[in-house]
Amino acid sequence: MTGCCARILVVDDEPALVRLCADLLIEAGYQAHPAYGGQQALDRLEQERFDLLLLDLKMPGVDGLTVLRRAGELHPGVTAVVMTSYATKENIIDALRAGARDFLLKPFDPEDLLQAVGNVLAAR
Amino acid sequence: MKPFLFSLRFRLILLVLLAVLPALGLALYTGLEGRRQAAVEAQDNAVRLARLMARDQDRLVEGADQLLNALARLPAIRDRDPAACNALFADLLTQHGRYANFVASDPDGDVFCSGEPLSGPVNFADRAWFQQALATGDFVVGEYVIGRITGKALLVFAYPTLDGAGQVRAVVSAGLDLAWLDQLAAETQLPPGSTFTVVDRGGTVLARDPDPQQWVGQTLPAETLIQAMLARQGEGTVVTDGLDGVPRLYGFAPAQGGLYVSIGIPTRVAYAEANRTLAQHLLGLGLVAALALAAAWVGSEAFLLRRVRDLVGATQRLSAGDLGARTGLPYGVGELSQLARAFDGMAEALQQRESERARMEASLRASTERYSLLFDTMLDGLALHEIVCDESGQPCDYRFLEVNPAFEALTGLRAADVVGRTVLEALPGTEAHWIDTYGRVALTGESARFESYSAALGKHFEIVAYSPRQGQFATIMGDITDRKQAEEQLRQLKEFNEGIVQSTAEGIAVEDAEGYFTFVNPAAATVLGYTPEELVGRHWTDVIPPDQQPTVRAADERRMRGQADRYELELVRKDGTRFPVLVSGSPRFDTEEGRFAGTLAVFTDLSELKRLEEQFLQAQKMEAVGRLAGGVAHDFNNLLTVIHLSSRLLERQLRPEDPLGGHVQRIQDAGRRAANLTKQLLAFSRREIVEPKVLDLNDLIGELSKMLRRLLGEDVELLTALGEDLWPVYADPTQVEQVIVNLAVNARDAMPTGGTLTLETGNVVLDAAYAAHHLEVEPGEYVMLAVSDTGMGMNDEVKAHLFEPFFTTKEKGKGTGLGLSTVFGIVKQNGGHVWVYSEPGQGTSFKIYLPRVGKATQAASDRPTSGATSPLRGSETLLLVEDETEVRELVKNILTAQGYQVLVAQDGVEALQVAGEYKEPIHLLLTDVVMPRMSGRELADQLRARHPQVRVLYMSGYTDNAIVHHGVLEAGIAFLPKPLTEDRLLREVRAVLDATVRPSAGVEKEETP
Repeated sequence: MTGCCARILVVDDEPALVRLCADLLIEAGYQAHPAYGGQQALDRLEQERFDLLLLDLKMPGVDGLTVLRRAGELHPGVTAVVMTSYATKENIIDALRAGARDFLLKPFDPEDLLQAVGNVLAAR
Repeated sequence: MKPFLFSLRFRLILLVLLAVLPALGLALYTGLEGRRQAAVEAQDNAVRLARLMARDQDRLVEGADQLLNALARLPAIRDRDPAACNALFADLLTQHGRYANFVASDPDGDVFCSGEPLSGPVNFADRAWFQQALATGDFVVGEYVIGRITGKALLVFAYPTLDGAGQVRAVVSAGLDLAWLDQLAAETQLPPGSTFTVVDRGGTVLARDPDPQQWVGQTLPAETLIQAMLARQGEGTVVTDGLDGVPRLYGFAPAQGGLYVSIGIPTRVAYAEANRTLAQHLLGLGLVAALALAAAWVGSEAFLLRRVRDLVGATQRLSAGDLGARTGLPYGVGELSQLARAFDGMAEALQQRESERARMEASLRASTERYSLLFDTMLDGLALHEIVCDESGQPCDYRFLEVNPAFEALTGLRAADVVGRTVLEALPGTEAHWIDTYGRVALTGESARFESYSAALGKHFEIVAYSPRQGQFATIMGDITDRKQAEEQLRQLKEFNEGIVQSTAEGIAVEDAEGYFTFVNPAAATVLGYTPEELVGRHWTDVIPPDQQPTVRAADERRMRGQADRYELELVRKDGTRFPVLVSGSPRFDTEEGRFAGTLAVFTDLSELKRLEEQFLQAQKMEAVGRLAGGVAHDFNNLLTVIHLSSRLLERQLRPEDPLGGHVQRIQDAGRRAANLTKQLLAFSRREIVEPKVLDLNDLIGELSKMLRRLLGEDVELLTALGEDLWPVYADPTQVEQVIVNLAVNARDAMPTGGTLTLETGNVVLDAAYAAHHLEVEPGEYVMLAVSDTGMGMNDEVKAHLFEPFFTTKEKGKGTGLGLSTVFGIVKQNGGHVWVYSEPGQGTSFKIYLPRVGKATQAASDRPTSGATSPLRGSETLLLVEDETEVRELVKNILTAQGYQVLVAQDGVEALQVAGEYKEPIHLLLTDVVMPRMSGRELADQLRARHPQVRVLYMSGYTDNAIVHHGVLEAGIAFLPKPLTEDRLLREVRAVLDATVRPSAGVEKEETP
């Protein structure tokens, strides 16, 4: 699958980060949709299908893991790249269990983001 | 009868008779004498009677004399007037009845006058009395005649009447009627059977009573009596047979007129009194004798025989065995009483002796029974033996005489088997020393006591041997196993207690009431720097510094009231150093008087604890700070990401020559530095993702030293002292470099005027003791890295905060305050420990311990694998993906050694390539989680597409207990924490391969069968 058609939901509680990532992805030819926080992500997942979630694990309220699990239920086969600054093993392992295929450590470079997303989508 | 002759009674009676006989003789004699006297008296009486009668006769005669004399003078007579005379005489007759007649006769004898009428002439001239009267002219008493007028027997009195011339004129006579005399005699009160006889001189009986008619008038001159009377011519007595042939006592007396009067009393009568007296005497005597005999009979019965019989009876009963036999006699002073008393006493004594004997016997019997019972039932084994000696008198054996059941039970020897036999017969193996010992006992009488253990019976015995008699010995054998065991237990308990006191790490000190030590245990002495001997006798103030003493005094006062308590204190050692202790002080009280006897102090050296406590507090603090830093870092990273991405986007849109490019560049630089800081914070909080590798610290230092020299500058000399054959460690090399750099920078800053920095490495084994004193340290093999400087050193205050983030002693702007906290975080994250040793002016030394890797370490060694039979072996094919070459080789070797087929790849891409070329099934993917180019997860997913049956085991540098504990199967994703240990690796591999449910993640549902 090429980057042009993939639908990506970018989820983070930091709005600036969501917008930046979305801009980078859109610039790279993806269809990036912002979700500001876990709840918004869930709401959108209820209505739409996405090919990939770019997801912050640590969010107030509904956290990334919850979103990831719900997405797995709603859309089997959905892939995810998780972002975290806290590379705690629980988070990574739990995310991997819940369906994440790769992770990004904050702060990351735009290239890191695009490579991870590209890899995951390519492997799908 | 014969027994009677020998009977006491007979003898008594004989005795009485003998006693009575003289009395009887005397009485007889007295009786006879009495009789004789009575006879004399009777004779006297007879004579007296005769005399009396004779007097009566005399008075008769005198009366007749006077009467006749008077008559003769009468005129009528003289005148011979018959008429007058007759009348007179007749009248007289009536007056005097005793006379039969009065007569007056003329001298011729012719009666002229008569009282009784005359029937014819009567002449008395022939009469003797007449003739005599004529002859004598006086009064005459005639003889017995038969009156010629009256015809009666008469005694005639005659008196002649004389005329003036003296011529006889007449003769007056009076005839005394002898019948009257008889009557008179009859009237006389005479003893019965007596006779009264009057005889005249011619021996003619004039009067006789009784039977006068038979005898009166008879002349009995031949009669003895008459002869006696006539012969004696006076009074007298004679005993002779009377006329009637009856023997009589005759008393006789002459009366006037030639008459004799005799009174004959039958001797029977005369002696009646005497005889009676005699008879009475004899009778009395007989009676007395009879009484005496009766008394003797009865008395002997009463006073003697009964008692004697009683005595005899008692004796017989006694002899028959009746020991209760008593005479029953009253005790008095008499001999029999005494005898009875003596007998009773004897019987009593006998009985007492008997009863004593019986009692003794009973007692003996009881004693015997008791002994027997004791012997049979006593719990101690008892055996009696007799020693057997050889010719020289030396004990050579002994013989069992008697053994009790307990002996049998205790020794297992049967009485039937041993009694009568010698010990060498019964038990041939008996050692000589037993015989010697027992021989000594039996021969010398010295008892012996010893204890013996029978291994065969598993029992301890106490044996007492003594000699009841020469040549014998008895053994009392008590089972003292329990006691021995109790003693042993007691000893063990004592030892145990002693051991506790002696070996405990707690200091134990006992003080007396004055506060002097009476006991200290080794721990107490040692910790105080004394020997126990030095400390005993010292006062507590010697080990408690003055500023602490009020605490103790206050506690002492509470203790005196019985209150125990616990308080912290500082003690002073012999060398003057102080150390903290926790004292538990209990009062001791005199057990008898309840007086306060001092203190029992148990104290714990708190030095270690305090240090550990400080370490713990420090660790807690670091943990808290780390969490805080981690939290901050998260948000920082979000912001930094925004800054970073934004600046990159901005940069991208600027043309290279754009003057705003410098600003963007500075934003990016600051963002990077901030990210770096954040990373350090995360490292400190151990949340940085690490990528550990198997490292040789020496190599790392070698590579780093060039950079370090540059970093340190010219004033600081870098020395390295690298240990040989250094063990590998498993750590993120970048982090380790950072640690060294940070420490080097710190050291440089501590040596502003220069100095030496020494890097040192070495293999160390941290043992349990070390671990016990250091929090979080597991005993095991470590590689030590020491970074030491010769700088200014640190005080305790600085040391206490050394590793805290943002703690710095540097000038503002010169340090971040994160250098050492990063060091701390990294070391901890890699399973290591860091310690700092520093004194002001003495430099500082940081020592870092990192766990050895590459062989089974502590965790593995407590679960040893065992060669060929190990269930951890296998022959499956494994794909090992590890970018770190050394780790890869290590793991490969381990697995190959256990029989596995191991394919290797250094990253995900290569792995997929290897898997594609391999045609056989791949059973397990063993991959690192975090790898360049492709994450482990990626790889697993892609590999599964081609090898659906493959199972996956992830390896990771994150050591998380939660993961480990979750286990591999339930989690879906098998996870192997790094650092790896051989055992752990093999077990996890085996577990995943053997799992019946294929491990699968939630996202792999489609592959779940």
